[in-house]
Amino acid sequence: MKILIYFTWLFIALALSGCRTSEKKADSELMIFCAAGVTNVLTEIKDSFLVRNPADIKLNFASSGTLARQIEQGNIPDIFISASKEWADYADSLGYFSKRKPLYRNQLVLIVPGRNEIDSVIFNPHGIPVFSGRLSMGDPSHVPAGRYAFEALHSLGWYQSLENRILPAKDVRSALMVVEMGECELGIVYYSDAIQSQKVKIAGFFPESSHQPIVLYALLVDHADPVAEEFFDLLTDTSSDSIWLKNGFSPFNSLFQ
Amino acid sequence: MSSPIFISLFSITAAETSAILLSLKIAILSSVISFPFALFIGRSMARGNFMGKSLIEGIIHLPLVMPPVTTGYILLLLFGTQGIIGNWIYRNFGIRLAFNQAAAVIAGIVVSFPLVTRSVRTAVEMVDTRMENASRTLGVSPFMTFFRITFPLALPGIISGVVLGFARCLGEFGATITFAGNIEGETQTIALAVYSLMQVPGKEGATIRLVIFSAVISLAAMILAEYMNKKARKKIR
Repeated sequence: MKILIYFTWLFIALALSGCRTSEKKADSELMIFCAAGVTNVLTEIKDSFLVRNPADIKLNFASSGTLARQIEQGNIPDIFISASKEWADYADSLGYFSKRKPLYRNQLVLIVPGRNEIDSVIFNPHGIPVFSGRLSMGDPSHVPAGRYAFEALHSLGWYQSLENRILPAKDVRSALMVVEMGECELGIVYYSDAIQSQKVKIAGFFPESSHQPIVLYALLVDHADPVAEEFFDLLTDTSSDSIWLKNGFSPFNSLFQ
Repeated sequence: MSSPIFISLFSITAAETSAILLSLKIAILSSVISFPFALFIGRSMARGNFMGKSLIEGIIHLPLVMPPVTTGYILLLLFGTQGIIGNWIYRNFGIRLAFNQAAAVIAGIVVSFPLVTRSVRTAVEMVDTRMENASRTLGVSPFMTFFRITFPLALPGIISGVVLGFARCLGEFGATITFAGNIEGETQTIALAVYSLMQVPGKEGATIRLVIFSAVISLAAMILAEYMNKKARKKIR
């Protein structure tokens, strides 16, 4: 009985503490939808933003396709960061966003579990890697990383022999995890994801000509809050440069478009 | 509103058909494989008294209370190619247990097992022990007593347990996507197919089709169970 009373008090205390902070905070609330592959960068940029601006920033990470669908269902963020042009275009077509800009570039790499030996991979039709089990990559139907991988496999002429061995993951981080666990001997993820992990090794870079350019896009909602606009600007600000580069992204250059 | 949906029911694709058949196959396999074990453990829980009974009960019930995704992760740690048990099996038999149909069946068994065991246990507990004792005094072995007396009397409850487990397997998502993946024609059941379709614009028709089919399957399973239940009850009387 005593325990029950303690818990009741604990519950009330928790409930009240929740109330106070939410009342006190008159800061603007920011909702950012972000492609799963940019998790670390966005978390760091958010931290550096919060040093100067008091705001309540909520980050929602998932595959770009999943996020675009959430936007379509009427769940509209202040900023949407897409890992592909395709999903940025789709979100743009919904008419909620007024500003849009390319952010940084990424590369596609072939990875193996850390304990495995790497044979050097030759990216041509005769270079199909020899491995057992399945090939881990994003689901090509909605995960951008999977879509790029699908394109690369096609243009290298590997697709036909690997088609039935693909293990489609729900986002790029899940694809990475499966290789980290040694469950798949081969995976295709972004360079930026591969360098985050101590448990995988990079077996090679896919030639940039083998797939659509991998460019991140940021979209800003129409009639945005000034704080949202500031965050939107900070994404490509020179002060954020080091964060992007450190995490394996390369600068977007206009020639590339 | 209703007519386009009705028409779209006839334009079902091969991928959707395979998802429906796979769901049925995996749910039926899981139910059939787990049934004897659920029967044995459910009975032991109801009648037996042994050391570590509550511990075993707790472990069996864990997948019922844990989020399915964490169950899937634990399965991956145990039965994955690098997992504690999975690695041994892979080294000795060359069989991979994760990310294939076997994995989907294992996930189905694990998540539905507590539901079936629980129902068996409750059903057996309801059976009058005096009947079992009478049978034993007449010289019938405990094994035969269970199958000739306890089992028929507990059958209605056992049937509802099996149907519950079957339904749980049909609806399984979290553990399956983590441990068995979302491979079309291999592990992509209705639930996973609906998830994938929801991510792609313009697939609403296909999504609704699968939703309708899963409702039909569930309804059919429940009606069948009710029918078998009635029959079993009549027999008891």
